[in-house]
Amino acid sequence: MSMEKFRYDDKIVRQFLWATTIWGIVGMLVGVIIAIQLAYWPANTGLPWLTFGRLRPLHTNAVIFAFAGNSIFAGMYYSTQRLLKTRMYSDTLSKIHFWGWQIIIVAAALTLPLGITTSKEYAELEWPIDLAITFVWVIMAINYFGTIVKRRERHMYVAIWFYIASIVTVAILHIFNSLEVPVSFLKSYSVYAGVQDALVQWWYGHNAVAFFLTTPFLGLMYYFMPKAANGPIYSYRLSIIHFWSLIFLYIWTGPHHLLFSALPDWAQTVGMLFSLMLIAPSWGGMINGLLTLRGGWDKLREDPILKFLVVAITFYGMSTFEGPMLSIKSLNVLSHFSDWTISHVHGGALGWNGFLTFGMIYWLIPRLYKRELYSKTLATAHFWMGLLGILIYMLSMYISGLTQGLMLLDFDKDGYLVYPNFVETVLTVIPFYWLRAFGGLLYLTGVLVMLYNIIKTTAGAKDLADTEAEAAPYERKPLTGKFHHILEAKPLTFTVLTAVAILIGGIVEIVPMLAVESNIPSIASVKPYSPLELVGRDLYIREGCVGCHSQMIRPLRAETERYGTYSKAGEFVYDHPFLWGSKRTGPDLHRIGGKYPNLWHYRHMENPRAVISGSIMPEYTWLLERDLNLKSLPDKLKAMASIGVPYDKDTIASAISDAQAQAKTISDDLAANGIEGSENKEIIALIAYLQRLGTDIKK
Amino acid sequence: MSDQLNETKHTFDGIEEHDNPLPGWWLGIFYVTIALAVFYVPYYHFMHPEKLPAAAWEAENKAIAEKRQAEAEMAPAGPSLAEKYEAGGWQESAKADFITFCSPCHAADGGGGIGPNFTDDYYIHGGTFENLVNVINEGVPEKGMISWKTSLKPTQIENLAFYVHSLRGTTPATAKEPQGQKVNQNGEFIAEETP
Repeated sequence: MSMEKFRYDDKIVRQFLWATTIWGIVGMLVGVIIAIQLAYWPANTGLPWLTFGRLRPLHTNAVIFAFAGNSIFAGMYYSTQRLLKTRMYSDTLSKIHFWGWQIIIVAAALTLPLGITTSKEYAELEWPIDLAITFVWVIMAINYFGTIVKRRERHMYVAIWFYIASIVTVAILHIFNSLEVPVSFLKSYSVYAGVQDALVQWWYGHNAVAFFLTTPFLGLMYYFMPKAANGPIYSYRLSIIHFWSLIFLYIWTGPHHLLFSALPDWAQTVGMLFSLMLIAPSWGGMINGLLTLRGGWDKLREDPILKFLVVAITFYGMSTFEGPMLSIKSLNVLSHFSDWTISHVHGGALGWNGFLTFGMIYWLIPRLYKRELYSKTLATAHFWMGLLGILIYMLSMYISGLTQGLMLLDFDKDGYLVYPNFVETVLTVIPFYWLRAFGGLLYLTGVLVMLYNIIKTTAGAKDLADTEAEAAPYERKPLTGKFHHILEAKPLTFTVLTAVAILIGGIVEIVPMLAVESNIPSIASVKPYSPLELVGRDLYIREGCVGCHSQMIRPLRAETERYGTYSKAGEFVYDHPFLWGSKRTGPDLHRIGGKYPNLWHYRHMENPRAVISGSIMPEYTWLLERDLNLKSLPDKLKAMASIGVPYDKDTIASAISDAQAQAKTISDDLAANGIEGSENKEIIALIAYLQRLGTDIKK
Repeated sequence: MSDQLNETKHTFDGIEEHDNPLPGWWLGIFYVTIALAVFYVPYYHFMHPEKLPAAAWEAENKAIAEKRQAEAEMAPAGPSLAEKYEAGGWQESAKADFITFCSPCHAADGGGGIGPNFTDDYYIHGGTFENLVNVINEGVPEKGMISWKTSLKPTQIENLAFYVHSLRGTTPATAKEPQGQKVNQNGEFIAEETP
């Protein structure tokens, strides 16, 4: 049989590797900064674009899409070419993919600190960037499936299955969650409202974890683990079972982010039960990865790469057990909105995604630059710094979450809250915030050691030739063997079946929520926001208030005693987007309306500690200084009207004057209490919004 | 190692796959989680819907309200508010609560700020112990005074009323201008023009 000679595209892999390293450092640095801001509020600096609310989405987007994203692409491009015995389909498409992705990241890094955000978690980027993501993703998909078409290897290895599932599912998730109506070039509203928006968001949000941070990394693991360990994968049939069960079950689990919320009970139960069923499919990957080392565990002593990979897989196993446990409703009462969730996600991100990436980088750099790693000692030092960093991080957040969670739920024997003062529970956990920042800093320092190591390794390298390879040409002969073996040679059928598997769960959950009215019982007294309140809501979104404040009071006595009656589905029907939040660093705000006078809010935004002793909230002085922009109000109302919010022609026509009139009543009240000249300031709109929150139900 | 090998004997870029059977404990976990789902749904959603969150919340609140009412009916008539005020013993804890919960709006020395001044002789809603307890319990939502009855205990609220009363006649660092009507020594409104 004649062999064909060809070259792999190594340059694109090197580019993605450097991108993941650089963006990883940026993303983690932002993480350390916001960790310090939580421990020490003056670190918010008083500059709008450096406050916690705006930097938090920058951190999450940078580590997910820039660090993990570029890592996935590096490993995927390297392994796919070798597993399919072909160069990528098109070098041009590879380049567009690489540079397009980096431009998107830069766009994110510019817009998020400016407060340009949709506020939907891990989907904060505004609509033009959403379109760019779609474009680049499609380019990548064409390139990827083109590569599969021109493959020389007939059958697809398990890593390829996971890549295919990731590419298809992320596309679907991104498109459906990002459906939004533009108001202007950098502002849009989600087409979904309230409960529906929450469900779609967490269908997306949890499956960003699944199909961006799990399945592609399983693909990487299935290639780099056996390569680094030089051992066989444990079980092919386990690969099949855990692949299909994982992708089918994962998509159902989103509602576990909404337990005890206004989401209908049946959907919450589905989210919980499918999360529990996911333990075994998740662990299938762990078993196959770890048991690749069977008979060779001694190699762990010597090899920092294997250390990274084995610990990564171990953290994967722990996270995929902890996740389902936190999805159990009775435990979720305690953990939800608390730092326990923060501990959990960082076990996944720092342990699984981070360590797998570092192991892969140390394995790839010498091969792509054709020279020895500069220092194995430094790589080992990086490993221990990273591991210690993760443990400090996770333990401090676990203790903090448990402590604060228990304090918030604590009743005395007479049925009164033991800690009615929210800020008291916050101040209790501040020492753990310092410890967390230290753990994060240690982890980041380890990555800087890696950067030094790979700079030293690669210094002066030039004219690197692409790796030459040879393989027998694709041969079209009748397929034999078992069903799945044949399926592995039919990429189109395989992709279609994958799409079917991941669509079922989403359709079963989301379609009834959009179509069946009884899921969201309407409340007659709930009316759309006034124009000024809408402007205030957009300010709330701009400042990232949702990063620390929920608007979802759960039907638990500890919450209804503290905040007021629990939140009902019908209260959110005009909330485009929903703002329920996922973390309570500060108290819930759903019933804040009418609770305090306007002056209280004014003083609180100017200096939170003037009214809440010990508060760790940043000062929002610029809201008191900046002029209100009401110009775009008619466009905002029109956009809302186009997605079903009942603003009629007259309301739209008089939007600006209505807003001015409402602003005057608030500024007159402030003036009567000694605050002059606030009439056209942003703070007035924010106060209007806050005073409206959760009040309709009382009418 | 007695691994079961993959019958295709195929390798991918040198990666070998064995084909060991699925571990029994792994299958066990999978089956148990599926079985749990099968039992969970009928148990909570059909047999015991009263255990679902909103219904459970209603039941718990009802039970506590009934218990408190029964206790209130059973309790012997205690000393009046005025007698408790005279008896003292509340000063220290009430002061601490006042600093924590009240000072943001009324200032630590009661001189007022967002809320009214407690050191003068003027009250908006009356200055008797009963008036004060009522305002602290129920709040004055339209003025931004919040209701404290869910976060503070009845004795804490009474003690705060005593403490507020005791602030009358003291001299704060900055005194807010008087609001409301003048009251007599007991805190009852006396006929006089508003300031």
